[in-house]
Amino acid sequence: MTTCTSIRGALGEYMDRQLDPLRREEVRAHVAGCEACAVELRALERLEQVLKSVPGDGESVRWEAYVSRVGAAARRARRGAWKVILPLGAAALFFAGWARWASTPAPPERPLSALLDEYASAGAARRAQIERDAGRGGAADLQALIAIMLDAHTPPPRQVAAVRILASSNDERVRGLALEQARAPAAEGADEWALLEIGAEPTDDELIEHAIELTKREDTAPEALRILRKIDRRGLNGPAHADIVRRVRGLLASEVEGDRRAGLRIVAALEVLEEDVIEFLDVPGLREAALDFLRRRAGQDFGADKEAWRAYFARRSGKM
Amino acid sequence: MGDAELVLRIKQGEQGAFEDLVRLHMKEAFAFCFRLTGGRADEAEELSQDGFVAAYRNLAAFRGECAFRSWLFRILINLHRDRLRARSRWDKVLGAFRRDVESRREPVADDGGGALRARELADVVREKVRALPDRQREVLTLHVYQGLSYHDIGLVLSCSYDDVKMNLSLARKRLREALKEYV
Ligand SMILES: [Zn+2]
Repeated sequence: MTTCTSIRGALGEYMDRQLDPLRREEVRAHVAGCEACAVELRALERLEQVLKSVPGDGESVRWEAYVSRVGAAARRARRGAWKVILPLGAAALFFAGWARWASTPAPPERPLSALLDEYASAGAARRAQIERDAGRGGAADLQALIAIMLDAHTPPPRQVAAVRILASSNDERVRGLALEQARAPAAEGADEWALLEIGAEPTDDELIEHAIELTKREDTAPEALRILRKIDRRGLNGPAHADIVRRVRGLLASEVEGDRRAGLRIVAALEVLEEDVIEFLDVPGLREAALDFLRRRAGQDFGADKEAWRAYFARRSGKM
Repeated sequence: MGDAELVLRIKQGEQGAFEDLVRLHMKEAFAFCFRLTGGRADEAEELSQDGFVAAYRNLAAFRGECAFRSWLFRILINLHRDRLRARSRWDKVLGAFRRDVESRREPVADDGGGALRARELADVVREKVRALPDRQREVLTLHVYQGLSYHDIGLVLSCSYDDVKMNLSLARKRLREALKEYV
């Protein structure tokens, strides 16, 4: 007996033409006489149509260049780069399954420095690959990488590369060492974003601290503000919010003009600190900056009248 | 010239044989990676190229027990998974920021010609496919876009027919829910 339940379970295979003729006919006959199953089948077919309507791509690829790149990379691989025979970590098992083949002798090693330089300018996928490969290079490679990372004479991009690779290690101690190095004041010219990025499991504290630093720089401010906004929204009225407010107060109170500017940038981006800024009207050394910000934000001027400012922003947010 | 013969020539060290093999499969490999990565051409180009290099390095393991194409799919899937894993939580955090920013962009008005809707639909579908669990996304891509049978998908992924069926069915269930405005 064919029940709807048993048919429903086979509708996908029916549509995909995976059933043997007998079963196929069984499903066809049932659907022809059962409206509920027919509706279900049509829904599957509509989904299939939508999925297939999504175009692929390929016009963007310059195929001859593609072929020569792959060919060159393959020849480099044969000469041996890094100490990898199988580039695919999880894939090792499956290759073993396809054939029991003797492993080839380890290829000669490429100098680490060259690899780090490659890493520094590589795309995300290649970076991930180098990170994975490094993890399998064994203790000697890790030691060498750590030495490069800690060497004060290592050029910054290479140092950053070493830090990032080590920060991706599975070994907690190695990762800890890398993170510690990353938190040290960045070398002149180092890519601070790269350092921030490797905070593999950053806490809000760490993120806030780094992000606040980066709001001081024109080029990194936009991304840093996005991060702060996100954290702030997540921890509305929570410790993260309080932490941000505390640090922003510090910035706004700073003697350094760049700090104050960064503070106001944050306040403006977060859109939640007007009330805090109003409080700043009481803080000597901060009053001017706060007033300036409030005037610009409101297009009004209530001077030192905190109540008036509060009423204004309450009205405004009430209207929104 | 067939795959088996080309592979033999590569193993014998014949100049240019590997390039011929790449030419034979590159468009499909790229198309597959394009789907797998949720429509990111740069990523797809890099992934598929790395896949060929990995295949080359491990060619000794390829004995022609299945189609080269299936073997390549398998390599690409493993590479892609490795990459997803290698992405740190930080990447996810950053990704969330980017999505957040993107989601707040003003939607553009439809020109009435439906071109925008089609583009938007393509983006949404890619996004939803990308959000599927790995195995579901892989099965769906291999079947819907590469046209592999359940049996062949089972070979590529080393799983049973029933696993393929179940994952495909789960993927469709999710997508129907996620795309219900469009389906
Ligand atoms: Zn029925």
